[in-house]
Amino acid sequence: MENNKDKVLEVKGLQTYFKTDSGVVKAVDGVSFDLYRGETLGIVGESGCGKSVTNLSIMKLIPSPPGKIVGGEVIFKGENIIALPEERLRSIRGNSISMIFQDPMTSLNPFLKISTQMVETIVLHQDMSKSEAKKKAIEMLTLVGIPAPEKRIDSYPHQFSGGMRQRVMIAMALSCNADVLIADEPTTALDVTIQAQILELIDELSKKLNTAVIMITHDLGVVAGMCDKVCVMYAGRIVEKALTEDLFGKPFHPYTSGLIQSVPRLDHATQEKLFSIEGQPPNLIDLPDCCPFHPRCHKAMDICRSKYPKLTEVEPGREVACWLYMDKGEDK
Amino acid sequence: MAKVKSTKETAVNEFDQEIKGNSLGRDAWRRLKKNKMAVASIFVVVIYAFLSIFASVLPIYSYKEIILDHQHLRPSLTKTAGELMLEKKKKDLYFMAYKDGRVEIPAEDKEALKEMSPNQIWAYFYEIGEAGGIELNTSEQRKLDRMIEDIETELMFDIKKINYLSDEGKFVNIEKLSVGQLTEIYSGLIGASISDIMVQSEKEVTLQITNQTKVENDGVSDEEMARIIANELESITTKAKDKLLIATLVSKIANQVEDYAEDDLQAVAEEGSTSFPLTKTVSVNDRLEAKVQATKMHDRKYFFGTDYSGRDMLSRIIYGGQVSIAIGFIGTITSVLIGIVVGAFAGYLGGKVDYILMRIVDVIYGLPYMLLVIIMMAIFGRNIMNLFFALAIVSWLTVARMVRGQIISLKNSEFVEAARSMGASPGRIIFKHLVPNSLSIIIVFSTLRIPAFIMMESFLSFLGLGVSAPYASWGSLVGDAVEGMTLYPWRLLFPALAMTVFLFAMNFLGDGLRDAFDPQSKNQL
Amino acid sequence: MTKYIIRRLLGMIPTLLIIITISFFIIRIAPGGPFDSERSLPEQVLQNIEAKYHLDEPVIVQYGRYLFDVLRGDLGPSYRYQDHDVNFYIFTSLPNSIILGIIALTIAIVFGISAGMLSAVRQNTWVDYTTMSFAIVGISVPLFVIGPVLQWIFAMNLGWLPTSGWIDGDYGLKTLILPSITLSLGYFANIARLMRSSMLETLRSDYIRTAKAKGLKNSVILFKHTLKGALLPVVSYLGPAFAGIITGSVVVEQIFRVPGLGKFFVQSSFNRDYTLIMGVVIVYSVILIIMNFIVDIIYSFLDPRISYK
Ligand SMILES: Nc1ncnc2c1ncn2[C@@H]1O[C@H](COP(=O)(O)OP(=O)(O)OP(=O)(O)O)[C@@H](O)[C@H]1O
Ligand SMILES: [Mg+2]
Repeated sequence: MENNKDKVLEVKGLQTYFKTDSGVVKAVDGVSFDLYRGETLGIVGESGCGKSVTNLSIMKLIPSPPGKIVGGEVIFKGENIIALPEERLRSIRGNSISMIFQDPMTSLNPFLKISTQMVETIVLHQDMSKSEAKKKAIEMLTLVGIPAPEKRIDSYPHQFSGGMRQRVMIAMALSCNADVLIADEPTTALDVTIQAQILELIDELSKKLNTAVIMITHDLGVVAGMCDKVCVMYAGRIVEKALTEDLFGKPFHPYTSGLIQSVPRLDHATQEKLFSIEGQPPNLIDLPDCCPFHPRCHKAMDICRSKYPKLTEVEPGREVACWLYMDKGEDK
Repeated sequence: MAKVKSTKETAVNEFDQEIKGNSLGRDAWRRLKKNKMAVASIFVVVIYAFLSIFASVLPIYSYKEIILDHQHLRPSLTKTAGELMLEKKKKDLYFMAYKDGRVEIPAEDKEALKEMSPNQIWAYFYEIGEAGGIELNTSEQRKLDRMIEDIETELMFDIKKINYLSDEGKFVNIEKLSVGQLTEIYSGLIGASISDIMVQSEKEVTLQITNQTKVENDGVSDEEMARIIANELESITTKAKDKLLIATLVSKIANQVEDYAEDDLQAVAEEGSTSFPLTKTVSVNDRLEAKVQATKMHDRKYFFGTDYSGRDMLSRIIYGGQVSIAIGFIGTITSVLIGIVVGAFAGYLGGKVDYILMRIVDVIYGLPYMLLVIIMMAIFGRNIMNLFFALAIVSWLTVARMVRGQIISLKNSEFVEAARSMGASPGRIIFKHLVPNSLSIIIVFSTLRIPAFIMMESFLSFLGLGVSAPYASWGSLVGDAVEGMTLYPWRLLFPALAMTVFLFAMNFLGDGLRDAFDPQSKNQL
Repeated sequence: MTKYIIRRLLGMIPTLLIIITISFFIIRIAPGGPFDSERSLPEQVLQNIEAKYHLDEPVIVQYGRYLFDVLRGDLGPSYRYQDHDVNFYIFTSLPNSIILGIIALTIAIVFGISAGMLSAVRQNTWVDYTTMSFAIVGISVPLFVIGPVLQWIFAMNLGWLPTSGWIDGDYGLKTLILPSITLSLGYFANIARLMRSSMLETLRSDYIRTAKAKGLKNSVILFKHTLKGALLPVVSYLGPAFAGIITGSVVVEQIFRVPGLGKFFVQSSFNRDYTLIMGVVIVYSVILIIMNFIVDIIYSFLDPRISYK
């Protein structure tokens, strides 16, 4: 076990529900993980499995109503964020924990200049005057590779390309030396060449600033390249948690192996057809007590249909929620 | 995978996307049903629609029957017109007595009187008078007595049907008889010569046509008018003319019959033991008999009061609603259809057609078009058709823009692109997808458009530029009422209320529909 | 920007021309003329009058003459009111209409925007429900009902305010209250609803989420980040609102006997006082066009994505 002092974020049994017309959507239902300084944690899973909700819950940014964090704790530097008063919360947001969103086209305020948006964050969290803050902002823009930042900083977002806007978002997120950076699919909306650059940038900067990163992604390639640890999510729960090399080396959960198999790989040139997991993830309303993956699972057993498998440590540092391994786990 | 069909699947199989995609309408309906205001609004709208559609068979008084005795009677649920007339008369007399200095009132009341509205002042003296505090002189008392007498005895006759005993011994409704037969009957009835009657009724019919034409061509110069009238008289067919002749003769005969009936029924009524309404078959002579109903004229009850001509406000509000709602609905449908066609053309054809059509729309949008409508109504004469036309030509703009936008976005959308690349014709695609995609917007828009249309109509009627008497619309009723609203507030309040409730309901319904079709626009919960 | 303004100003000319043309011909294609009702006039006198006002010329010549006069700023003589010409009537009554219109508009905009914001921020609380119920009243009740009802309540029954009159009369500024409330209520309601829904939409947008994630204070988020974007739909609505206020003022001026332009408009339409109708329409249109232009400029200031070159 690593030193407790280095643990920057601990999520325990997080539950976030949405009340909708048709019922309560259990978007996140008992998610736990730890994050250590300088570490990069990947969260993967299909669309709608609750990745974004998990991370918005960490910042307590769930739109409420309809959303509500109904259980669990998010411990940041010894404090439970969920229970913090609004004011204290604000001093954490954007300062100690900052976020980069999926769609850079809509995540910057189109009505305000880049400079305004960057400076206000810096002035808010750091003890700086406006002009100092602007200098810092230009510095950050240089760092993320915006050409001629002194000039560009006074532009409006619509005068930037998507990739540049995402760089601005990154610059903004890192301008206050955050301890944790949450990147919610930062490259999904960008084209492939830019994607690599942006990811590299995040990787490089987080190493440099010793920032812990939560990287949310669909792309297992990204996970393999960047992350130290991975959480695989399915239907609002974590189904497998492992170090990256372990996970790719030997996936336990059938869903994980499905995901890995569905990644196109050059070294498997013989593979005729791309594998895909059939079926769709379940509706998160009124999920019965069963393994939510069982209808799509090759290896489903009777017990899978009647009881939910708890996330259990099956090997040191490896947890999985699957009946296939439960006995094995209990044997030990 | 085959597993999808296993036992515990029900919950797992419900996927959001599928439910939403397949039954937008049903989903919207479900959401609408949850919205209490919208459901209540549906009820209100249905009630209004019912009243408007069945106005002519409802047990209400005529909306255009003028009874001058009943002028400006206040609304009352319990008192009859007669009682109210008496009350009004007494108020008048008591107040006159005060004016003459025949009434002593405390000094502080005198001060208070200065602050009171006429209605309050009348009520004040009525109270004193009824308590016996005001002595009326003999001439005043006589006036009252005469009025009471009239109220007791004045009857109103309603001739339901007049039958004529034909030569075959069968009774036939006189409306089914020919001009010749009617002339003969009438001549027998009043003892004038057949030819005189024929000449007279010819004259009357000509006059009728002339007057009608004059009304229709209001504002034409004299020579022009003469020409039009001559033309009209020339071109009328024998059949049409016979119809007019028959109507004239029937009403003449009915008048005669009413005189007979009056004598007959008055006698019965004076016996005192009869109850009203009194329905009787009266025979005029051997060959003519009529079914007559007599009611005590002043026994009527006006729940909503009466107007300046003694017309029943309740009935006028219902008929006014009929006009307003009809204009609202038909106008909206017309303008929406024009809008859909123009918008679909512009969006579908694109290019120059689109450009030109949209520039036209822009220009009209920029115009103060209600002002133009006002000018048009003032100049072309106030009738419902003109009103309708003037409103419809300026109301299609928004729909056209909306439909065009929808079509263009559909045309460029990826799934249409994909379908086209597979060989489906874009026109078919657009119409296949336009229906589910735009219909909801159009429904919502139309629902919200109806109250707007009704408002425009009543706005014009209020200014005296729309519907005019004897017809009514909510706007004209409110417009008429503004003049005397201190004295006769009910004339303002009831139509205003009727109109407001309907507009409310339509707006709530429109809002509800919008939220139901587009849950994004409101937050879910 | 200057170029754009000049171009827009030039663009007003054709619009105005269209309005003049349409109203000119609508008025004239209708049968009958301004002096028809004076039947008692001998033929010769009538002809003289018509010649005096050039009504005996072909319509197209009249049209050309009229355009030329308008260009010189002369709206011609009134056919009904012999004392002064149209310019006089318009410029004595216009200020009153403008005062009423501006007050009504200010009420509608200021209160509408605040009420909409408040209701969005306090969504689904009693504040929201009350405001929105009030707004739906404002939308559903036509102003010619509101006017008389307010008169009935506040002037006749409570006696707090005068029923009618104008600021130069005995009651002074009090006379402004009822007419301006009547005129503004519908637009207040529309603006409040529009503001509320656009505010809610903006508050749900990604960039507001970003602002929250940055730890900004609620007030900063509201006023600095949300307001501008949320105002855009309201600003676009102002164009139609101006048109509506102009039309509405015609009725309100009648109800409250305001000595404004509206009175002349309705009367002259009935009287077929050609030049006076045209004059009023032109003035109203110019106001409307200028207002729309101002709206566009405001819009471009609010939205940096729109550039006017
Ligand atoms: N505002 C909301 N109201 C109702 N349900 C919501 C809301 N936001 C999210 N959800 C539900 O929560 C679930 C998880 O959503 P989330 O956005 O976390 O998915 P995700 O894993 O981030 O997907 P993606 O990869 O597409 O971003 C979804 O099923 C969604 O329907
Ligand atoms: Mg997401």
